[in-house]
Amino acid sequence: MKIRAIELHNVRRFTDPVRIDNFGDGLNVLCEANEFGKSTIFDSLHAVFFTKSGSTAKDIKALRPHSGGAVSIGVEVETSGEVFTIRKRWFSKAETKVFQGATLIAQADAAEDWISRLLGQDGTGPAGLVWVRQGLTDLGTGAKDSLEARRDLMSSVSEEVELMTGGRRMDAALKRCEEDLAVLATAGGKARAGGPWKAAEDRVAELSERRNALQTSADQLAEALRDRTAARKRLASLNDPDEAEARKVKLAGAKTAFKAATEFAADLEGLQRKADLAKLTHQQAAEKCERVKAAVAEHEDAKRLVLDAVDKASSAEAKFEDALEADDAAKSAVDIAAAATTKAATDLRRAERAASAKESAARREEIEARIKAAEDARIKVETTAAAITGPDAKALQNVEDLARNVANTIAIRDASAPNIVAHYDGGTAFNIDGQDIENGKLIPISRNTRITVPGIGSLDIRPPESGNADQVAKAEAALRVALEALGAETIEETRARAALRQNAEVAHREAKASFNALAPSGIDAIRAQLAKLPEPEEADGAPDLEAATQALEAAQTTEKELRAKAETTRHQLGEATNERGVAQANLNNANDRLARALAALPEGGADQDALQAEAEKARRTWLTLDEECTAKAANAPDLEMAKASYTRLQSADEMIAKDIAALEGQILVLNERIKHASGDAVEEELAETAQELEVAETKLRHIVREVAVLQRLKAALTGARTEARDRYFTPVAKELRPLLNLLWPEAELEWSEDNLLPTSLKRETVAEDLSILSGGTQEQIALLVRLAFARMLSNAGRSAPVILDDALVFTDDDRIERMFDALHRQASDIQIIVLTCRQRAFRNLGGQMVTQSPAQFIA
Amino acid sequence: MSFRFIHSSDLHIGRKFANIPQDADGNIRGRLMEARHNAIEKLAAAARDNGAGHVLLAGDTFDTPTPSPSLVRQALAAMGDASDVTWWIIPGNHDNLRGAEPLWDMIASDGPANVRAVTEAAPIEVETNVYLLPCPVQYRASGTDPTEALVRMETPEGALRIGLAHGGITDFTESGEVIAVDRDRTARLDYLALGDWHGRIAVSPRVHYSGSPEQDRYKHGRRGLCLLVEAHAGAEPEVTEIETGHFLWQEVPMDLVSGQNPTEELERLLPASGRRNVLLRVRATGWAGLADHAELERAVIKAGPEFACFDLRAEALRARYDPTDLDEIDSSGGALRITAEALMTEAGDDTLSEDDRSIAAEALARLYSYVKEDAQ
Repeated sequence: MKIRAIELHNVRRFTDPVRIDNFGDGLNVLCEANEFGKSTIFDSLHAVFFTKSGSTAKDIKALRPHSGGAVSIGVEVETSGEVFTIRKRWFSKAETKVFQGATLIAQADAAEDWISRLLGQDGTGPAGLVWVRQGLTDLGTGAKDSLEARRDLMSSVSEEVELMTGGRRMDAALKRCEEDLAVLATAGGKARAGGPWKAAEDRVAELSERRNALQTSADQLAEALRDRTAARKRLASLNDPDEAEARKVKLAGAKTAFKAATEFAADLEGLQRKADLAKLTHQQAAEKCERVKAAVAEHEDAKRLVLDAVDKASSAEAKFEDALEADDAAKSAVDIAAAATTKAATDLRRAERAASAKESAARREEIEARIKAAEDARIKVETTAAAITGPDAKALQNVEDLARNVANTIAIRDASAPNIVAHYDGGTAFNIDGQDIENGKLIPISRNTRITVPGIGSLDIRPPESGNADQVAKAEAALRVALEALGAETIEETRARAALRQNAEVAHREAKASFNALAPSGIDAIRAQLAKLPEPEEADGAPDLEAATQALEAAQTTEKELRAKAETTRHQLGEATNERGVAQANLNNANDRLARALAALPEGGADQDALQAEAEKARRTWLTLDEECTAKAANAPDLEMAKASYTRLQSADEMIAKDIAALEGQILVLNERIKHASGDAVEEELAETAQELEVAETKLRHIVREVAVLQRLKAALTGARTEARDRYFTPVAKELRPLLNLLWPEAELEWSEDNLLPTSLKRETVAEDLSILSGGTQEQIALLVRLAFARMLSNAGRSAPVILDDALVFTDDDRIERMFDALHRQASDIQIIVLTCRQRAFRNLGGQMVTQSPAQFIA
Repeated sequence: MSFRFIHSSDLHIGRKFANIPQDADGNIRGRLMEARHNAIEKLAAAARDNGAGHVLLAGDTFDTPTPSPSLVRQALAAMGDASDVTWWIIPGNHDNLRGAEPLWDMIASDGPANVRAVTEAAPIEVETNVYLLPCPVQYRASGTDPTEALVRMETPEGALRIGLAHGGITDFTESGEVIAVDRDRTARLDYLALGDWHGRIAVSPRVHYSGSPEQDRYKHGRRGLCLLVEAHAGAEPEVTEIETGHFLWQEVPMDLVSGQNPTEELERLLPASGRRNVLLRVRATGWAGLADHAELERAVIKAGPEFACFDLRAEALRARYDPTDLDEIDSSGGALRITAEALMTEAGDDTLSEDDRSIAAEALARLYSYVKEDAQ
């Protein structure tokens, strides 16, 4: 659909008919100053499409001029290549008409339906047009209710939204579902307090409790009835006259039997006492007879025992005496042997001391000899030490070295000196400084030398000065100094003295070794050993050590043997002593027993026969009475049984009387209880409560079922809405992206999960809530969103004119140019109508200018 | 020799009907209770109208062993008002002798002269040479045939023998308390009046259950009745049914097939008149579309209040889905359509439990209702 012309008559300032036309397919602009009536045009379009002619709503009243009268608006639209004119009139003679050319094709409600179909929806909201009112940029971030805000945003595209997300119908269904669910359950799925579910639960609980209580009461009543029946039956049995009489007869019989048995038992007891007395008499006589007989026998035995004991005591005494004597002899022998042993030991100690003194004297002599030798050695050490004089080996070596040096320097000097060799043919020899020259010997001449030829004269040889004469002189001087230091004149003397010193040192070392061997710790240590030795003792008269040792061993052996013998005699003495004691004690005992036996004999003698006869008589009396007892007891009634039977019947009689009283009392109590319970009609109430409980449980099951159904439906609705929204916003976002990028490269909008409104603008990963953005940015986003919707509808074959009434009031010059680009971009296949008063700012918008002209309005 | 009497049983006076749903401003439970009390008068009228001087009640006259005193006294007073009729009452299992001892004590001590509480199993000569052979129920469950004693009850030669007992003839619970179906022969009875079953059953020519004079369940599908019996010594009795019930308890099946209009079918099944005294249970089975489900519910909401009680059981009525149903919810393929298709898929998913499937089906039906109501 595209708008081709608008006619207004008696609409606010347009009291005269006016026509605005020249609307093209793309971008159309009506740019006029304020007060021209642009918003009136905008509102008029809105009224034509969305407000029925019968309406007197506030928005329609606002269209009337001050002078009043009917408001008339006409709009020419082109759809599917055909042009139609919609004319509407409000207030006086309200009407709606649709013409095709001059032909009226619909009027009144039919015309309204035609408009609805034109808008592509069923009249439940605007569609097919995208509106942006003056200054309407609120995207739901302000104070408006979010749903209402969504309506503002979606009002132009609600049909499409309806199609895709369910829109208002979805809202209505979900709201109904949530409302129905909320009546029953909380958000957490629990029974809501005060709601039917909770009431049903409470009702079931209450009835269950009441049913249980009533059941208990009913059970108690049933039990009471059973108890009473049983009690009555028992009472009837107890009160039965025949049974009572039978019990009475039984009791009397038992009593008689018990009495007879008691009397018989008394008679029997008297007879038994007599028998017992006779038995006792017999026993006493027999015992007396036995006692006398035993006393006589005992007296005889005691006498025999005394005699025997006397013999044994005498024998033991004799044996004791013998043993005592032997023991004394043995002890004396031991004493003598012990004295001999003591003496032998003393002799041995004397012999040992004598031997020790002898050994000590030899030791002293030896030590004294060592001391003397050590003294001699010490003197020799001192003497040899004093003999060590003369050059030592080192000094000798030094002189030897100096001497070799002199010889060397002389040899060097002589090597360069002239030599002479004497050759003799016998006769006189030549000499130099009085010393003969050997025949044939090469004699160097290094200095002025006079060779004397005895007899002939002398021959002076004056060799030239040699360069080595000074080294020789120096060497010889050094040698002389060394010799002088040693007190020698020649090297030979030095060697001799050195040899003497070496011998003296050897003698000294030998003397020291000898001394050390004799007294390694010194002479004083040896003297100390000597001092420790005991003083010599006089050993004259001491026995020989070996003889003394043998004498002691012999004495000890003798003593040991005698002591063993003495031990034997002592043991024998002990045994004899004990035997004597035992024999004496036995004798005493025998005397005592004899005395007692004598005392036990009856005075005046013991007539055993008389006693025997008396005992026999008593025995016969006893046996007679005992036989009588046995015979009577054999016929005795069972007293215990008679007593038990009587006691039992007596007790049972008393118990029955008590039972009767108790049962009567119990029945009275039960009567009251039954009367009370049956008066309450517990069974009746129980049945009623059980039925009510069944109904309540059924109702609760239904409610639980209802909750499950509603929860399932709610989940299905919300899940489907999410799915549809995703499906729906994909194309919107696709259309929106290039438009947003005209202003902000890579920018994206984020959308609310709840109300389908944009919530924030995301630029370079930073998301900003729309509410904090500038007014200009907000209105730009609002416009771009609508343009995206419009393109999406157009793509869906539902071309939707976009009508903007001063939609960019906060946008700056830079952004507005890019918004113009956005408008042109979308205008390629969408009709856009821009109403603005900003002539300068919109100068560069371009597009087709619409025109206004007076009109011949057909009302 | 013949003897004419009314045979009834199972009045269950005092039953509260708490399981019958009742609106906050309704009184169906009170009406049902009252109808059971009124059965006394109807039985008396039936006797009077047919020349019978005796009413034999075969047990369960009272619903519980301990009915409230006022309930008992009002019932006894109603019987006493019918002074031309003698009431012979035996304990049944609900008002058995042991459990309801105070009740029987009260009837014996305070009841009117024409009310005879029979609590001993011994022959009673109710008229000359006409003997009533009662079998009062001693316990709620005894484990024995309650009519065994009839065999041993002696009466004069040629006397009319009428047994009066309470118990079943089919041992549903294997309790052993089954009345032998040939008891009339083994006990030489001319008629055996039985109670316990609330529906009317003629076991044999001489053995009958009268059923309850006022029904209390949907099982029997007819109003309660009593039996007018003309008993003859040595011959088969003449038994006539006399309707006494005020309320009709009725359960009707409604098997819907695809395309069938549920509203029309329901209306066809409903009684044309007297709905106020009808308790109706419609057990719907078969298949119905979402729209049919919603329409059926609306029809029930409309027609239900006309009845004493209306109970639609639609658990077995399965939902049939077709594109038309889903299109009515959303034909555009939008979110509502997605919702509907998801629930439909779930409802037919055999891998889910029956419960989950049925919840999904109900959720879909509910969505349909929301959308349709919203459109209206």
